[in-house]
Amino acid sequence: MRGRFYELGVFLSLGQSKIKIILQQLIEIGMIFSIAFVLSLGTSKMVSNVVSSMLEESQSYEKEIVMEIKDDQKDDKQLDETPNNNVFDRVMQAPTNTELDVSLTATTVVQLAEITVIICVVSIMLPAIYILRLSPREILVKKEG
Amino acid sequence: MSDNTILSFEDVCYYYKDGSRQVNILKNATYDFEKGKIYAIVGASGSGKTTSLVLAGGLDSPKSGKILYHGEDISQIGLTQYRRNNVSIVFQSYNLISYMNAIQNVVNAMDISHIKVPNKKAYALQILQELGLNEDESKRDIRKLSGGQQQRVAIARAIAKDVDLILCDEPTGNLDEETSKGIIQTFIKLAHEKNKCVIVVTHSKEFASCLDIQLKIYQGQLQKLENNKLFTENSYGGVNI
Repeated sequence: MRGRFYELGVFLSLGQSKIKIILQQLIEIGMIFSIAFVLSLGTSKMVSNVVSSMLEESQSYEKEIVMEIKDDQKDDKQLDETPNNNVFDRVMQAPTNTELDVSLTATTVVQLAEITVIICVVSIMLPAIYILRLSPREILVKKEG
Repeated sequence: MSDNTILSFEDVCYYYKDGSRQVNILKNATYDFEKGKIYAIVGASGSGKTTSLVLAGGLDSPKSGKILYHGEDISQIGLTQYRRNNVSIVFQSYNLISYMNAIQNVVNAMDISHIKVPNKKAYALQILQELGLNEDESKRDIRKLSGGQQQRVAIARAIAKDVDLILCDEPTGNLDEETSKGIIQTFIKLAHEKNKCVIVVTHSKEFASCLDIQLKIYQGQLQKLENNKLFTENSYGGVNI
């Protein structure tokens, strides 16, 4: 919004109404939000699988360090045999620990959408209120200055 | 006020604060602008030429006094509506939308003003071509056009709005002599043939001397220069152009 400060001044100078300018900004951010939201829903399960398996691995690795003190050679073998080293497997495979398994329910998706919409509206409205209270001259002069 | 009057300044005052000091730009400026005429506003730097244009264009409001469009106070019309439907402004710094090409800039202004023509793109291209931009230049990224070409896009945008009042701030400031002559002729035609009122702020004596009426801003007042006394000694408040 800050980067578009001058552009808003030009639209105002051409006679575009303030409401239309805000609506245009909301539509633009709404389109970006829609695409980003769908993409994130599709990828979130895969990302969570990777993160969960990494957490599991780090937990088992800590256990192995403790065991290393007891048996150094045995520990080396276990490291080589660590499962899920393949990236594709990590992405597609849910973690064995069910507490780390992230699942998206309809309620979660709706809540996420609501929070994101609020963030979008606030991020547009706050700077818009600041910018649009200025006269077109003040906006254009600031750009030139 | 005559029947031909399109724009009137009535006791217009404008000032700004510089710390505790009040700097007066316009002091009870009064003048009637008529349709079918082209005006040059001249004056020393900082005398209030651009401020007069800004107020006439509804980009800001006077501190006191009224600006009337066809006898109606522009603040009553609504400044946004006035800018959209009644006035075109050519800015010194072009003020084009940087991510649009020349045609899109012109069409965008037409869309905002609800101009109804069968093919807006073709109409925009026609105006741009009349001003000397070819089709390739008209479709090029606006940032890749020269200053003079961008100025012509700004002029095309003003012409495309098809309003009765056109305001220009140094419209030929970035143009070569040949193109400037063409632009001057375009503005004169708009005033004389299409009965529009064109008000131009300029430093160019060649440009100003071609126009119907020359006004100077001196001590906050809009004063008409009689008998083309524009460039005689002290007619500018002591500033030579």
